[in-house]
Amino acid sequence: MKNLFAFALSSLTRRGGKNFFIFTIFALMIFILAGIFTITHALKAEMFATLEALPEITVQRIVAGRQTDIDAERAERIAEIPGVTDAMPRVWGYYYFAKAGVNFSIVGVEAFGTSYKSSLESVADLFGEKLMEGDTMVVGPGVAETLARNFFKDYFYFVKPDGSLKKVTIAGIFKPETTLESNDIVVVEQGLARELFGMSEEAATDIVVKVANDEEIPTIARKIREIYPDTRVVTKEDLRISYQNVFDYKSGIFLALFIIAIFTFFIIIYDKASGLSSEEKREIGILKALGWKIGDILKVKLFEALVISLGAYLLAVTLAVGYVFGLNAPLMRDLFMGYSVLKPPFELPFTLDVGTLALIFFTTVPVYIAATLIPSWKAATLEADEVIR
Amino acid sequence: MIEVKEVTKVFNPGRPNEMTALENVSFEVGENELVILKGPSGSGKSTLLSLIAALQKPTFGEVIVRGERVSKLPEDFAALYRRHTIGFIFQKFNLIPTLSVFENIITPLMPEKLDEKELRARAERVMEEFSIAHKANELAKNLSGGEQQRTAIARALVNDPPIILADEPTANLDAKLSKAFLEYVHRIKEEGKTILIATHDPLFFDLDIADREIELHNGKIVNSED
Repeated sequence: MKNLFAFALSSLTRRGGKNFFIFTIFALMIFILAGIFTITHALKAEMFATLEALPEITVQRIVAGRQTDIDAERAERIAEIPGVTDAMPRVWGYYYFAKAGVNFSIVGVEAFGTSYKSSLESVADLFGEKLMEGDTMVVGPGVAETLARNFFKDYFYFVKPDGSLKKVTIAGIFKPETTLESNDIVVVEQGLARELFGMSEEAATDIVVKVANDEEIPTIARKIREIYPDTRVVTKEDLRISYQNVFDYKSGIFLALFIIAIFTFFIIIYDKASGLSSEEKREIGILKALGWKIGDILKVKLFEALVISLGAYLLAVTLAVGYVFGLNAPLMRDLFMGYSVLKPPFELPFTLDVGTLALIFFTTVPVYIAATLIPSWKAATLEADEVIR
Repeated sequence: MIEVKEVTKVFNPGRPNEMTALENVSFEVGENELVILKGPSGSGKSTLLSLIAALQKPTFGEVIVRGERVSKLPEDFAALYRRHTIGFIFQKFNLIPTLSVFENIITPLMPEKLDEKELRARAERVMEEFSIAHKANELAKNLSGGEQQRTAIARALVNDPPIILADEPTANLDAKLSKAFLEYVHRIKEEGKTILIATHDPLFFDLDIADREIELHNGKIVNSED
């Protein structure tokens, strides 16, 4: 067996150019597929972890089919529904910074009081007491970097809807480990957020509702709809489905890539399966004439196929894991992160989609081995005399 | 040692291109005998060697070697028979061009459970014997005709088989190398091997090295003489 393995390695080396080409294509295809699926899986894990922290119900007001401001006082009525533990109005939205061509996500919080300050301290580097002094903001690292590049290191002038300017001082920057969530975030006091968006003092963007028992979520959502028929009530489950749809859409794009890769792979497979070269057939004939059994020949061919396919698979998966988790998936990550947001230098959580890696394995390695063995078996079962004459 | 009994070989039976290569051929070869199969091209010499080597099966009749019906052997047993009993020297030597001389010579030993030391020892023995050791690492495709010939002989003998079959071994060689081959044959015979050579090279007949000659014409034995 050891000698046959040595012969297989020698055989691979002898046809080095061709085998190197097949190995490279094989490894590249698996690298792309494993990379895509690994990054998707890691992002999905991260997104769904984030989803877990979201409120059970979000209430939005809809006018003419579009979301519009909601009366913040409605939160008090919703909080009275049995089963609701809390209902809070939120003020948030996007601010387009034309000079850099990016959107910031502005989130208004109730007040930079003592409790907020201590919460913020755990996730952001705050600059002294500035936070307590009115028009201040805590920004994500991406926002800080974008503003600094445009000479706004300590403060920024927001352009309000009426065209006037509003100076807001940077009071802190979110810590790097929160980058995935905070990169494009600007946290301001709720009143300031309303001012920046041109909203009235009673208005909120939406209302978030906390429910103690998950089983009651659909019932409470229905009750809210009954009390306020002009609202859209979004549950956590709706959000999960929405996230899933986004990933399914992106997965669809990558499914197309997958098909192209598989197509290329099957061209190689077809080439292999359509028969051996006359040189390879002759070699098989010589081996048979020298006393090799058909089984010996097939073992050598199996070793050759294993070295190429399994070697390429293991190398490609290792490279893909290193590329995604070690290098943070340059290029590929940008495809997933969209266009308008600031692209955060986040670190993907290490999580492997073993099922998909197994699927890639079973759709490539055994197929390649079969495509190598079948024509070799055909040639090996011919009379040796016929092959070497 | 070798018994060929009423052997007939028909290629493509029942088809328009049916061809009878051998017809009712019978003869025996004794131990340590050197027999030359002669006859023009297409007379059936190579087919007869293939049948004795169990590379093909006869359409009718049987081939018995050392008491074993090799013409009836299943494929795997035929392979073992070839590996342990037959050393085959092919017309065009049939070396694997991209393997070195050493690798070509040890090819018949590769399916055996031999360690590298044993493989090397066996290869070195035959390489020394046939003066090819200095080319051990040279690729077969870069060898001269004489070197290819010596490598092919060394490969045929590396398993120390009792029977050597040679199919037109001098067909691609000049007179000098052909004479050298006859010397090697003589040496192999001295080692106690049984040798069958299929040839129509007059050199073999002029030097009268064979114990016996069997002449074939159109697949039939026309003459068998000592």
